[in-house]
Amino acid sequence: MIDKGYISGSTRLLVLNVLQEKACHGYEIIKVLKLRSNDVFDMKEGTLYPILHKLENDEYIISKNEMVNGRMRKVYHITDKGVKVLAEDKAQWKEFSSAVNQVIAFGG
Amino acid sequence: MNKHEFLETVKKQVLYIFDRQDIVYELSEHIDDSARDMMEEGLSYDEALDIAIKQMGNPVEIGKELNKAHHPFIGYTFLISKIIIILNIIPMFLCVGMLGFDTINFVLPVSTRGGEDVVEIKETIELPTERFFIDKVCVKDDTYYLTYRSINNITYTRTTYGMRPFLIVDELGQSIERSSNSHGGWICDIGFREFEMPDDKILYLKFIDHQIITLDLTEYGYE
Repeated sequence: MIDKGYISGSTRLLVLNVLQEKACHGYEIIKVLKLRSNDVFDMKEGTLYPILHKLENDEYIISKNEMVNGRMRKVYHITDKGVKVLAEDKAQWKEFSSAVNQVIAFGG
Repeated sequence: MNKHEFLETVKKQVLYIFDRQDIVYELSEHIDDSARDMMEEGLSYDEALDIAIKQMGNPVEIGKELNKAHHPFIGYTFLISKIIIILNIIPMFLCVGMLGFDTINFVLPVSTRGGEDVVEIKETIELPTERFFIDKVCVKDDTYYLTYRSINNITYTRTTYGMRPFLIVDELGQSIERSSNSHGGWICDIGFREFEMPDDKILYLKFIDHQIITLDLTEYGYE
């Protein structure tokens, strides 16, 4: 199990990245995150919703009520603003992680 | 903790009550999805639901975080301003609509109600508070009628009387009216008065301030 601090700091990046590929409802997002991270991102699932609602307040994503498998679901779509911020977040993350990698390479 | 308890606990943290239902529905669907997937892997309904709820996390924390995203101050301010705007828009549309309707009524030539013009009068009569435009006399099916418009000089609102503003009488002061009809909105009234055409073709309009206007129709070209 990975430290929660690493996950929460990068949730925006992770969620927007999932939504850039495909509009999803909350449960789908969780499933994709778990699958892609080999269950490392086993976050408490309910905590996703405050994050989604805040992202929606910030207009990075927009929710629409859509029928999915015969049920009305709140499906989240990424906005143009969201795509832009995702690119920025990704660049920052790459810079940060490569710097961390360089530093810890010396500890070996 | 069962599903109902979980959802109720989350709900209580969200102070903006109008978003509560959507939040509860979304979380409830998530729990159901999660439980359904685990049942496909062989768990019983009760086991699956129990695990699904545990995986959601702490309902108080989730609720508090959701409350931040659905801030009651912003939510209620938005709601109240929406209500105020709607409450203002309805009378605004009514006023503008009536104003427009009346202006059109007032500017367009007065309808003859399907009759023929007998004689144009075009007299303006000033009363202390009202102004009357006596437009013309028309005839339809051997019935003569006078058309007029009226406007309130002070407020520019319609002239609403509990009684008739004027009466068409003969030289003895006896009413020669048969029936009347008027309609209007906030600005002007449009009226029609059916009357018996007197032999001498002279109409006397007796106004409520006892002013009597004599209209000798022959003077306006009636033969």
